[in-house]
Amino acid sequence: MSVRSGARGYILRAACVVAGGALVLTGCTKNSESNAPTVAKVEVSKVDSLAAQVPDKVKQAGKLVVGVNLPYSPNEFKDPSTGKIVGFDVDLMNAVAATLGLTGDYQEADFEKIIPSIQAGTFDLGMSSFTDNTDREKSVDFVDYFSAGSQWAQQVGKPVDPNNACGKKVAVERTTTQETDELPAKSKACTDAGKPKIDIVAFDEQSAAANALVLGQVDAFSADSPVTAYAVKQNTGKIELDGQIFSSAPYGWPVAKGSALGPVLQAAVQHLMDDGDYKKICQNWGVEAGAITKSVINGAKG
Amino acid sequence: MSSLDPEKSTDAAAAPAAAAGSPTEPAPIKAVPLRRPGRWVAAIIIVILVVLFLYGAATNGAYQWKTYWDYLFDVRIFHGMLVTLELTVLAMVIGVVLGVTLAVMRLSPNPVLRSASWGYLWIFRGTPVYVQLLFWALFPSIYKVIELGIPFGGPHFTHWNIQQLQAAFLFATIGLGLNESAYMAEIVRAGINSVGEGQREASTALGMSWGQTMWRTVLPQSMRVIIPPTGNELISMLKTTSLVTAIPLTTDLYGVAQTISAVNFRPIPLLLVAATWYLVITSVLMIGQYYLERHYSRGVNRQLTARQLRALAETTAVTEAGK
Repeated sequence: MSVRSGARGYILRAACVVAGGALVLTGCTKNSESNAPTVAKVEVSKVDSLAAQVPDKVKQAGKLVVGVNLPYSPNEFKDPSTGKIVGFDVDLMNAVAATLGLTGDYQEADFEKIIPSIQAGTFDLGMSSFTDNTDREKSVDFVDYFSAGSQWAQQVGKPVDPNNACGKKVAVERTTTQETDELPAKSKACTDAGKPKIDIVAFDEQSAAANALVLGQVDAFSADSPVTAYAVKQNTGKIELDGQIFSSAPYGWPVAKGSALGPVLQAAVQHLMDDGDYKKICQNWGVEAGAITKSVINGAKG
Repeated sequence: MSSLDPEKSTDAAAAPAAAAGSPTEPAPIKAVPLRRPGRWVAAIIIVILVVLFLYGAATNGAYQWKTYWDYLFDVRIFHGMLVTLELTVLAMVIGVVLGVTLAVMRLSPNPVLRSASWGYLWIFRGTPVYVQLLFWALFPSIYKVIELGIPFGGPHFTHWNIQQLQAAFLFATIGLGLNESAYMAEIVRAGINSVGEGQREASTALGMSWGQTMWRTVLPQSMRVIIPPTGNELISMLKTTSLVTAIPLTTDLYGVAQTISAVNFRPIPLLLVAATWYLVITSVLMIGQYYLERHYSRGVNRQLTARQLRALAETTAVTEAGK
C-alpha cells in the first residue's frame, strides 16, 4: 500500500475524514411511511366488577405482559416513526386492559417461543393472531375474540385457483396454520391425484411473503384474511385477492392452561362486544368482516 | 548479440556493417515489452461484465433506487447504526477480556482450569451463534429466578427475578460476548504460543512467577500475532450483530431496516441501505486495523518504513552537508 509522505498525506487524510463526516451529518433525512395508517383511538373506561376478578399477581403488577410477534400487519406491527407496537390487536388489547384497570406491556418475541413462554410464566398471555385449533389447545387455553379465515392473493392478471394450485409456488409465513396445516393438505391432495406438489415457500416474515408475490418470485400467497386484505390494499395494482375466505377459525389469546386470567379476559372482551366498542375498533382497522358477537374459551372446532 | 525481436535481425545485420564502417557504438536496441494478450482479453471481458452489471442494476426497477436514496440518510437508520456499534463494542470487550482469561486458563499448569476452559471452548465454538442467541432469549424462561446464597437449603443474600426483566439488549450482548470469547481464546492462545520458549525460560531464570511471566514478558510480545485476527473478529462481529433478531432485538441497523420495510413493503432498497452502512463502517474499521498492525510490527523486519528512510536521508544529508 503506497504511503503518502509526511504532512501533506496526514492533512489529506484528516480532510477526508472531516469531509466525510460533514457530508453524512448534513444529509440526515426524516422519512415517514405514507402507508402507516393513522387510526382513531376508542376510549374505554374501567369496569370495577371485572377488575376485581383479575388474579392477584397481575393486579399487583398493574399490567398484562403480552407476548407478540411482529410484524403481522394490520394486526400487530411496529410503527417505524415512533417505534411503538400498533395494530388492530393492540387497540383491542388496550381496550380490554383499560376495562380491567390495567395497562398492556407488549413484549416482542419469536412466534414459536410465545406459547412456551406462556407455559413458563414469562408472559401472561399471547396476542399474535393465533388461530385457535385443537392441537394448540393441548398446551394452552384460548380466549376467542375474532374470526378469520385463510385467503389467498395472486398477481394481477395471473389467476391461480386456490383449490388447484398443483405445481405452483405459494408463499407463507413460517409456523402459521397455512404453513403447517392448509398447504401441506392441499399439496397432498395434488400428489394423490397424480399432479405435481405445491412448492411451499416459507418466509420468516409476512411482509417478505407478500413482497415475494409483488416481485413475482411466487405465484400466490396464503395468509389470514385480514392480513391478505391489508397486503392487497398496500399494493393495489400489483396483487389482488384470490377467491373467497375459507376455513374460518377463531383467533384466540393463549393463556396458561387452567389460568384464572382466561375467564376474566373473556368477560372483558364480551363486555366490549356488548358495548359496541369492539365493533368500532374492528371498523377502524377495516377488519369488521371477521367480527364476532360472543367470546368463548377454547372454541376451536375439530 | 542478443536480439529481442525478429525485426531486430535487420538492425543486427546493419549494426556490424555500421561498426565495420565507423567506430561508433551500435544502434540502441528498440526494446518492446513482452506482449501479454491474455491480460488484455481477461481485462476486456471483466470490464464488459462489470459495465453490463452496473447498467442492469441501474435500470432494473426492482432495486427501487429512489427509495434507496430516500432512506440512505434517514435518521432512524443512524439510530440503528449506533445500536449496532454499541453491541459490537460491548460484545468485543467482553469477548477479549474473557478470551484472554480463557486462553491463560487453557495454558495453565492447573488441570482443573485447563479442562474447564477446554469444555467452555468446546461448547461455545461447537454451536451456531444463532442457536446460542435463541437460548439466551429463552434464559428467563429456564432460569426464572437467580439467588445468591448457600445452596441446598441455606440462607440466600440476594434474589433477582430474571423472568420479570425484559432485557433484550443485555441478553444480546451477553450472547454475542460469550460466543466471541471462545474464538478470541484460541487467537490469544496462538499468540502466546508464538512467543519463543526461550522467553519463558529466561523469565523463569530471572525468578519471575508464572503469572509475572505471562503478564510482563509473554503477553506484550504476543500482541503482534493477536492483533490482525482480532481486527478481523471485530469486523466480523459488526456483521454478526445482525443475528440479534433471534432475541428479538430489532433496534439495530438490520432490525430498523426490517421494521421500515414491513410497513412500506419495500425490502430490497431498505436491505441495500443497511448493507451500504455495514460496508462503510467496515471500511473505516479496516483503515484502523491497518494503522494498528503497522504500530505493532515496528522493528520486526529489516525493511524501513518511508518515514524511517526519510529520517535516515535527512540525517545523512546533514552529515554530508556538515562535512
